[in-house]
Amino acid sequence: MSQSFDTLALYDSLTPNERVELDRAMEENPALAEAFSRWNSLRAAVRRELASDLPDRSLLVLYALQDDADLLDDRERARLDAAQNNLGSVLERHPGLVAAVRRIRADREAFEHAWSTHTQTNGQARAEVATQPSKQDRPALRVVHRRSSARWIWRIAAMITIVLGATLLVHLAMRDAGFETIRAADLMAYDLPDGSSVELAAGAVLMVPDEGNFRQARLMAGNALFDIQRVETNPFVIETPNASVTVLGTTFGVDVTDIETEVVLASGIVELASHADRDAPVRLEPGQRSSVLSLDPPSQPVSADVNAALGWTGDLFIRAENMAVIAAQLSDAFNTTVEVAPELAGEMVSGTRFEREAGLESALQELAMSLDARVTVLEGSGFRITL
Amino acid sequence: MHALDPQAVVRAQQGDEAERERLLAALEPILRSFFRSRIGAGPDADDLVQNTLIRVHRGLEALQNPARLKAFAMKAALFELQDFYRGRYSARESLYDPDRPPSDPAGVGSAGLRLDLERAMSTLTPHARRIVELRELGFPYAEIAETLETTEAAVKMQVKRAFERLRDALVAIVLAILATSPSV
Repeated sequence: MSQSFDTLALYDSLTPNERVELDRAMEENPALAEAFSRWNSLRAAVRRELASDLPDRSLLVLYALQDDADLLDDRERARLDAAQNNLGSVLERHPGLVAAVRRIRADREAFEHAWSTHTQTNGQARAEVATQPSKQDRPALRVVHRRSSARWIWRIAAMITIVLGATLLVHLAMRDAGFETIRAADLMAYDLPDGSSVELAAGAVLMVPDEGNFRQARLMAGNALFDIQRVETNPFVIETPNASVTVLGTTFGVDVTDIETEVVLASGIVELASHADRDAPVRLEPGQRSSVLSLDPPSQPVSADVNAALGWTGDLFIRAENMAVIAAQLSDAFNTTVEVAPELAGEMVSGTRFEREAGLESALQELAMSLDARVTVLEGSGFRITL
Repeated sequence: MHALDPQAVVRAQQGDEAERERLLAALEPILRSFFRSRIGAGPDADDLVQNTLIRVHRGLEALQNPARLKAFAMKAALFELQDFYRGRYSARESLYDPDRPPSDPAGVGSAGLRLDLERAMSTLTPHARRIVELRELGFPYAEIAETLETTEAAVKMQVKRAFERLRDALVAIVLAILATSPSV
């Protein structure tokens, strides 16, 4: 139930299937529906107030550009001058508009960049621009560069270790039509055709469909960390030579070596089944692992060291915990003191994934941001998250 | 001479159709690159490029200083981008009424929804209020995160926390129902 309430707040960013599920939940639960109605009423009221206080959004653009004498013409400057007093009080009342001004200034910088890039007289520079793919045009395959800040996830994370025999590979090779094979020479990321993605460690071999059902992939060797788009009615299936992993959520990792498939789940839900008996899967809870040796049934899930299993990613995985527990885990991971103010100690934080390379302070800043808190440096060494 | 040079702009302003075509053609990749960098590639970016070109085409004669074509085009693009954000909810509202769930399953959509906005919003921290307002200004969570120099997940967590606080402030009765309702 509380998960449904959580999801309500983000209704307009849910997938159609998630919306259908939530709509159904609201039909069954008037309290849920009423909470949603009130939330939407409040949002609509915020929109009405913003529109009332600032009926002409172009004024915000002029306001954002006013510091550059060359950007506004006389007529625009006169418009802005006439609205200046009112605009000042509107911005004071609405922190969102202040942030929007900041966004417009960033838009301006982006425009300047686009302009200078395309109007350079240097032919070589222009040629480089012409061949530089945009973010969206980038090929699916790319080398992974570590993200600059900690990444948060509310999705499924699992680790799968797969070991297989040569005969099974031959058998699978006969079914490879319609699949593209990706061999990772180095740590790299690959965008799956359904919008999901996977990070592959050096040596990993992944097969992805280039037609038909895109909610599947085959991991033939190596380590991989999957980030799967959630589709309630269409689980993503990872086939290994001796097992199937059905992903009922979103992010999980994979490791392939010889004749064994091992799954370690950080958060969310996955099901693991042997190819010998696909109808008898085991379901893993967060923090558990299970394995399929050859064509034996999967082992009973047991507790796992998720961070040890996913250590190759360079990230630190923390399950949904209260802040006191998370602080202790971060303290252990980074070998320094991390304190939390008592009033924050009980605050629950959803499943998190921190990039170790970004450092402890980056992780703490992310946590503090989500809690409306701040990070202070302790005398000597260590940090404290406080209100 | 480049199509965006002031002399070329003057000729386009004076009715040289070929020069105007060259100018718009020269602007097109700049605008495409700009919009793609802000909202990603796709039909929306294509529409914004076209709308901005139309805005430039229609307003070109009014451009007093041809040397300021860049500022002129930039403002046209920024105005279009703001219109795009503002229109996000207009489009969505045509699909469902934001004041009620899509199917209003419990039939409560119109009951007791008069809100004391200020009182409700005062329960939020400035940071949470900033995020809620940015969302209602039409910005997607990813862009809000970029603007506030944080992650999309952290922004969404803030929204959930804001929802919790507002829910507590507005509908205390829901909590009591929650405690006795079966899981969904």
